[in-house]
Amino acid sequence: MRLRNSTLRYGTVAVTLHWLIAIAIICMIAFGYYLSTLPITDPSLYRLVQIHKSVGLTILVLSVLRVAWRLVNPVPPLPDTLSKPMKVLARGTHILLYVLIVAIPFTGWAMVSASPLGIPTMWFGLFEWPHIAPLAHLPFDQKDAKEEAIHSVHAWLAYGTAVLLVLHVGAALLHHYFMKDDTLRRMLPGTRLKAET
Amino acid sequence: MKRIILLSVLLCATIPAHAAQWTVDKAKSHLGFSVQWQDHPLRGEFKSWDADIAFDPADLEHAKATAKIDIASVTVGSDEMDQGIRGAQGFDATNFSTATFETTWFRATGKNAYEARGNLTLHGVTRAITLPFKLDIKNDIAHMIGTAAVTRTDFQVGMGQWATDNPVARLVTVTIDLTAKKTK
Repeated sequence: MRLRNSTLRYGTVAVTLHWLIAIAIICMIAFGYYLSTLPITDPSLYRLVQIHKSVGLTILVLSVLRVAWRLVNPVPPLPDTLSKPMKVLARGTHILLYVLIVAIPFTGWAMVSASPLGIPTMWFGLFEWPHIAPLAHLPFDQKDAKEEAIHSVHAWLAYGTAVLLVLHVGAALLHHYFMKDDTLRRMLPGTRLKAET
Repeated sequence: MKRIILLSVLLCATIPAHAAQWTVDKAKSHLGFSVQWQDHPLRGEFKSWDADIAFDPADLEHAKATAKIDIASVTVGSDEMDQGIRGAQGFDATNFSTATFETTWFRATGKNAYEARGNLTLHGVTRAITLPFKLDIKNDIAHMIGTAAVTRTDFQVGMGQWATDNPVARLVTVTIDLTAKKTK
C-alpha cells in the first residue's frame, strides 16, 4: 500500500486518518451526549470535559490535515455501477462529512473560548491550548448567551453527523455485501482489491 | 418642614458623635470570591449586598460593621453554573437566603491597615473569621480593600462528594473592594 492515493484505492495516510477520525468521532458523539446528561454539580465533570476537549482538538488537527491531504491527492472514483444521483448523494455525503469533522471540533473550541468561566484547555494535561481571542475577549455579560448559542450548534452538528454516519456506514456495507465491489475494501488497510487480482 | 428638621436632629442625636457613619457606594463596590477549581481559579461575586458601617480610625473601640449578603445573587457568569452554586449542593439559597457578617472588634495593623474580627453566618453556620483590610479615607470618601480566607466546609457549603479539595478547593478567598461615603 502506498502512502498516497491511487486511482484505485486510498493510500496509507488517507486510510489511517479516516479510521482514526472515525473511531474518535463516534466515541466523542457518545461521550458528548453523556456529558450533556451530567448535572453541572457532578464533581467529575471538569476532568471529563478536559478529556473531551483534548480529544476534540486532536480531531480538529487531524481533520484539517486530512482535508489538505485529500485536496492534493487523486480521489479514487466511485464505481461505474452507481447511477448519477447515487454518485451525487455519495460525494455529497463525503463533502458534508469533511465539513463536519472540522466544524464540530471548531464549534467546541469556540464555545469553550466564549465561556464566561474562561477555563483553560489543558491538552491531555501537557500544555495550554489557547482560546479563540475574539470570543475570549467578548464583553463579559455577552459571553454566557454566546457560549450557549455555539454550544447548541455544536450539539446539533454532532447529532446530525450521527444521522449522516448511518447513511455512510450503511452505504459502505451495502457496497461490500450486496454490490460486492471494492468501495469498502479500498479504505481498509492492507486488503487486496478485486480490481488488483 | 419644621417637623422634618426636628426629626433629623433627633435621629442624629441618637447616633454617638464619635462613630462616623458610612454609606456604601454600591456602583463602586464589589464583593467577590475566588476558589481553585482543579487547575483553574473560579471567580464569582455577590451582586446584592449592603453594609452598615460605623468607623472612625481614631476610635476603633466604637467601630462596628454589619453586612448582609443576598445569597441568591451569587454569580460566576454562567447561568447553568450559578444554579449549581445556589442549589442544595452549594449555598442552598432557598433555605439560607441571607449571609451576615457582624464585626466584634477592629484593630490597626499598620499605616492605613486594619483587621476586623467578626462572625460570619453562612448556610446556617456561624463562625468567627478575620478580615484584614487596607483603608484610604479622602474627603469623606473611604476606599477599603480586604481579603478573607474562608474554609467553605466550616460552613457546610459543598458537602458529600464535594467535601474535599478535589475538584473544588475548600479554601475560598473572599475579596471586598468597597467605596463608602461619610453620611452627612
